[in-house]
Amino acid sequence: METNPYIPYPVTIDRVVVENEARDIKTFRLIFHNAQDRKGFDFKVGQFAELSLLGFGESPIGIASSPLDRDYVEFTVKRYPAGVVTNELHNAELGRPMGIRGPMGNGYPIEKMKGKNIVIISGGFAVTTLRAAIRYLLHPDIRSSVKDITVIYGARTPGELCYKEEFTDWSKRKDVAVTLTVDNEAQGWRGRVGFVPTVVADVKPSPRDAICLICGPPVMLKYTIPELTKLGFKPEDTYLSFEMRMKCGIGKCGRCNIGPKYVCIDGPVFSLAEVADMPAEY
Amino acid sequence: MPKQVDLKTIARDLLTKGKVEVFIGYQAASLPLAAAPLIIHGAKDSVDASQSMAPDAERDMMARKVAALIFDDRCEMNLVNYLHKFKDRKTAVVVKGCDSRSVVGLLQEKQVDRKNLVIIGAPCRGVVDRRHVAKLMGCDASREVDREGEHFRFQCAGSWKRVKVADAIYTACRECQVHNPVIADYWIGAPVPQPDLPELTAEMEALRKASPDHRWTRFHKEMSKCILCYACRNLCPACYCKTCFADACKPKWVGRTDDPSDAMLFHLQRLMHLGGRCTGCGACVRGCPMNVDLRLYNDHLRSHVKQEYGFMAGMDSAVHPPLAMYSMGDCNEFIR
Amino acid sequence: MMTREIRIIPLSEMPAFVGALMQGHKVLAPTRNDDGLCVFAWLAAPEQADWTCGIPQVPPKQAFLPRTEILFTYHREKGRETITPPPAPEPQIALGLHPCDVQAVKVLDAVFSAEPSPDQPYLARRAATTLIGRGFTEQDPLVFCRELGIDPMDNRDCDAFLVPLAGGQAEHTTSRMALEILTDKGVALRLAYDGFPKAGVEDLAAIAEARKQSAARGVPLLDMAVIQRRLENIFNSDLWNRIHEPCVGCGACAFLCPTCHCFDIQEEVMGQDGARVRVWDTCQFDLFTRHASGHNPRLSQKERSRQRIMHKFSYGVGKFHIPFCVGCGRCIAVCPAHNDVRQILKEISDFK
Ligand SMILES: Cc1cc2nc3c(=O)[nH]c(=O)nc-3n(C[C@H](O)[C@H](O)[C@H](O)COP(=O)(O)OP(=O)(O)OC[C@H]3O[C@@H](n4cnc5c(N)ncnc54)[C@H](O)[C@@H]3O)c2cc1C
Ligand code: SF4
Ligand code: SF4
Ligand code: SF4
Ligand code: SF4
Ligand code: SF4
Ligand code: FES
Repeated sequence: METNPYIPYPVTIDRVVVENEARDIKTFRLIFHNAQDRKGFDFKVGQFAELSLLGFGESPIGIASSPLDRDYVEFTVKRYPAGVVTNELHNAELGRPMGIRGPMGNGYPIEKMKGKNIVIISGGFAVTTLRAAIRYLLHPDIRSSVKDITVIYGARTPGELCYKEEFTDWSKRKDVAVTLTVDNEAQGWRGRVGFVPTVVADVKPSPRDAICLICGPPVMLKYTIPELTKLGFKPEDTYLSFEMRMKCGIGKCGRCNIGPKYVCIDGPVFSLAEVADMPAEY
Repeated sequence: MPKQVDLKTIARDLLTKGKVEVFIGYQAASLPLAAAPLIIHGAKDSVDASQSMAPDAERDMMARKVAALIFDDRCEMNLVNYLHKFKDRKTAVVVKGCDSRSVVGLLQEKQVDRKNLVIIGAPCRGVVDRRHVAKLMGCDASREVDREGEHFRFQCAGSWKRVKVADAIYTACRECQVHNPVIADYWIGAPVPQPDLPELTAEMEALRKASPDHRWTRFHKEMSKCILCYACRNLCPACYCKTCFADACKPKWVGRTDDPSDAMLFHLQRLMHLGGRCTGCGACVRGCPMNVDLRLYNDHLRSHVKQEYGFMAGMDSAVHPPLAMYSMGDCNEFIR
Repeated sequence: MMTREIRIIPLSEMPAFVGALMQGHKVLAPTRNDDGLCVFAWLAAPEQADWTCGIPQVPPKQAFLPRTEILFTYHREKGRETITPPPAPEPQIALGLHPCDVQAVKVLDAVFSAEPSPDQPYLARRAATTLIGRGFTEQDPLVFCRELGIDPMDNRDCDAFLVPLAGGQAEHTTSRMALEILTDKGVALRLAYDGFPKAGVEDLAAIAEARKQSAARGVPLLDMAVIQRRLENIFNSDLWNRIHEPCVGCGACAFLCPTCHCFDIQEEVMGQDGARVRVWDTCQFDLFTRHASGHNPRLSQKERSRQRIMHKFSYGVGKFHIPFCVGCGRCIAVCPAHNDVRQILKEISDFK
């Protein structure tokens, strides 16, 4: 008999990191109660999971840690003032039991990325699953499977950049080219200043033999995608991750479709070529 | 008294001369004994004229729709509800007596602008309750309705049957205190006589006298039928909140399970929001797919507002509704 | 489908048959409620099953997708939580389904058994269900399943099937039911039908005649392929600007549609105990797609009405090769604005 896909794995909050100055973005490290559940929770970068808080509900959240971080999984969650689950999660203390259902969705095209140059572009806290991708690609066992890695990451202010320590470390590495940018000049900021699309036009990542992953707020996407097209990135090689309100996460509850595509099972990652065939209802 | 006009003539006139952008009336529905809303866009509709349509085709469509307009005993929907959809556009709407009170309500609550409204009043003696007729006759396959004095004639399974008007129309219509619109720019018929009605219906008297147990059982039974489809709310012209309490997540006021307590909470809260605002138009009852008799509770609410505050909703747009103002004379019995 | 055997049950004996089915099963059947309305409901007594009903206004989907279904229950203490899966569903019978309602069950089956995550709670209920269909000789004016190619005498996908037969003096009124046993699940009902006589030669002829007459009542079929193809191209058309206008965005059409299966997942909490439940939901509601940020990709009724039609007649067909509408006509009967899905389909077919 099938197992009940609505019953979450039991997990505990093991670590919480406040990611930004506004303190409304936190990263939660979750530990599985049963070690074999972590094995069962076999995910690819770019997938997501339903975080479950009994009594409050569930939220679909992108997996922010790498599949090779074998002891835990991490999620970076923004708190919305009117959001039931995200608020309760932000109020949660270390050691709080909770649940996790998944993994869900298709994830980034890891197989296709092998042997390619990788360009990763992100803005704001949408960086979560891309952080997972970077962590994964930079893993010693994996790094050699792809060629150059270029990362462009921007936020409104330095205080809003997530995973600061990691990005600082990555900036120092030779095997990845990281460009960090903020929208406006800020005290103590020595990185770039400018919006992500402008920086992309400036950095000019090469489209040759490249796969591009891009995540960010709608405005960023709106202006960055034309820049990528200008640079020569092919729609079928440029991927982005969608967000729609979700409940089941497994293609049953009927709410997350964009045209005929269900974001929870057919996505959340789609190539620009696929997006072109989808109605603009997102 | 407003000028009496012909429905199709006035519709054509308003639409072609650009006096309104949208005309909301009735057409025959595909169901027997029912009319559906008919929304006609004028040539000068500023908002969503079908861009791809040739002006000729657009005019044809308008003419066809105007020709399909009806007003008769089938026109049960309260079209005032649609005014929310066409806010800020010049709109004409056909209103029965009861519906006209909803217009007054919306004017009082500043939801519509009188300048943008052309009100087509339709004096009305009651509309047919097709589910009740089906029950009376054991037959629903009728497409013909005639009125013969105090009777309706229905065609049912090949033969004509007669049903007394009073038996065929909605209970709300039998208890209607405003057969003639209280506000209108034109009338599409002669005023109809307004029967004298007792202050409280016999049913209401009985309900008030009934034991709490009896009332609870009755309430529980009605609420158990409700499937929380929200048709009642969505049809009610007075229910126009952008985010209804029923849709709020934080806090979540009501659940959506089949436990009758969820339906009870939904309806009780909705009733509270309608104190001094419900006009008794009956749109909610008529639209309910499960025949939940909300009327009883709306009536109860209205009769209290009338008794305690001497107020009838939707009669006069110059008077403030009791819950929108404070007066020393207010009934404050509940504060102890 | 191979018919295992056929029994003849006089109409007057149906309560005895239904009563026997109720031994060991919950039975969902057409009943008439106090308002005279036909609805599918769980029987408390065999006499409640009503054989004069046409297509009941409340569909049988509650047998498979209850309006409220507990996905699991839980208990919370500080630092500790325990989850208990719901008990296995009891054996149940869905009795008296019109062939279009049976087709609707196939739609639900397609959605809920689809990979990558088959819906175990649904499948468990479905597995515990015996489907007894019922043939119809007459068609309500609102029903258009024939136009969708469904024959109201078709016993496909049923475990057993009742064919109403006229007889005796009253030539046109049903006097008895022929019970066709079609599957192992059907055979498992032996105790309930064993007392009734096997169909004789005349009965068999009458059944064949009823089927022949039903098949002969040809109607022009709606060309679903054409509708689907057209829909693929008119997503952005301003046709939708008008179609949604009468719609008030309630849940009546979806809640009473036998194929609509959208649900919400909610919490029901009482102190330390609670349950995660799924409840019916619909694409017609604003909250259905509203993000926590307030953004809503289907902001107005236009997008929501379009979703309903697209989902039923395009997305569903594309994915599962079966329209998500079986022509039962319930949505036409219950829509408070008297929106008629046939009319909408016509507008779509006629559109340029
Ligand atoms: C594939 C995917 C990945 C996501 N990744 C992240 C992430 O990494 N970090 C992050 O902070 N947020 C992410 N989101 C958004 C996040 O799911 C919502 O912000 C969150 O569900 C809001 O929940 P709430 O209970 O606080 O809000 P409420 O408004 O109370 O919502 C109630 C429920 O509706 C659903 N819901 C509401 N808004 C959304 C939404 N925008 N997307 C999906 N479901 C929603 C959820 O089931 C939620 O529990 C992601 C969404 C998707 C679809
Ligand atoms: S509650 Fe019902 S009767 Fe009262 S105004 Fe609203 S629709 Fe009319
Ligand atoms: S219309 Fe009827 S069933 Fe729907 S919510 Fe209102 S009372 Fe309940
Ligand atoms: S079509 Fe009718 S029943 Fe369906 S949402 Fe619109 S008004 Fe409600
Ligand atoms: S859409 Fe309407 S006609 Fe089609 S299956 Fe659903 S309720 Fe029946
Ligand atoms: S029509 Fe709407 S409610 Fe019905 S199944 Fe499709 S998306 Fe769900
Ligand atoms: S979240 Fe339920 S179908 Fe996608």
